[in-house]
Amino acid sequence: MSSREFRPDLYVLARIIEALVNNGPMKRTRLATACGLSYDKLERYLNWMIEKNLVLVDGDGFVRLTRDGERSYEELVLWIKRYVGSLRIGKI
Amino acid sequence: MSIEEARAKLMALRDALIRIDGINNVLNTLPRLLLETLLIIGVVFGIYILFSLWYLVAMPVRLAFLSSVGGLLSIALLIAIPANAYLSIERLSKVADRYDNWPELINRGISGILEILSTLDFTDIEYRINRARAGYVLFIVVKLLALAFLLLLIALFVMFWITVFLGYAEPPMWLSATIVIVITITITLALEWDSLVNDVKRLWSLGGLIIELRWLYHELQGIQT
Repeated sequence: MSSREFRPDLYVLARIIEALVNNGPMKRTRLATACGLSYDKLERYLNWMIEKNLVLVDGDGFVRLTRDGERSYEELVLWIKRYVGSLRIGKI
Repeated sequence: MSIEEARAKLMALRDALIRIDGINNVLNTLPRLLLETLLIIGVVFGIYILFSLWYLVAMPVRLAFLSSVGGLLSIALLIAIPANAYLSIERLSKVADRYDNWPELINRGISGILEILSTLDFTDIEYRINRARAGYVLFIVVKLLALAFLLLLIALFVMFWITVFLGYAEPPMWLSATIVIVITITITLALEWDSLVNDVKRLWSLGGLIIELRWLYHELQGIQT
């Protein structure tokens, strides 16, 4: 499956980004464990994220968030605060 | 707004959806409950009729025994059927296991919250909310009637023994009936009042919840693209 055909799930992307925000740069194997993803699936997501400049893999093989990746995380947090937090749902 | 508030809102949404599923469970089961009831009545009286035929052939002189058995069976059914209906409704209205993983996902953080929202079937939820609203009157009427009927039997039993104790050979029928009905309605409402008031509020809130979910779904589509 090529990266162009690949349509990632938003929550899986969020899971990867959140793991990197909470734990800092990680090797792929540890990242896959932290996200609860299979290595193959993580690879597909990482390729897509590298293409979109959300993460990069440094010379030592550590996956790091780019500035865009950090911004994406902040945007997701803001979205949740704004839209989910403002749901007018009481204890019904 | 904080993430904690968002988590609290999702938990409130979960509670609402569990309640909606509970009402739908009851609505799904009402036809089966009715069939079961008719089947039980049919089987019990069928056996009673067969027993009566055999008894009339074997011992045709002791007919009082047959009417006593018939009376006892009727009383047992009058108690068992509404009790079964009320308890089934209570149990089914609390069963909803499709949201069991929500607390864990909500505590996981934003990825968990997004997973919940991304995997929600908003169309199905809207259908279930509308169905719960439409069938709610039936749900509450059957539940209250079952409870009221049980309480009526207890009130009649108590009233009978009170009149016997007070020495009335022929108790005033209209007065007794009025007292029994008033007591039954009062106790039924006292037992179910909180639930009834919450349910009416819930009914009103469900309309707003549909609008809120549509709006959230629209916004989620936006962020996903």
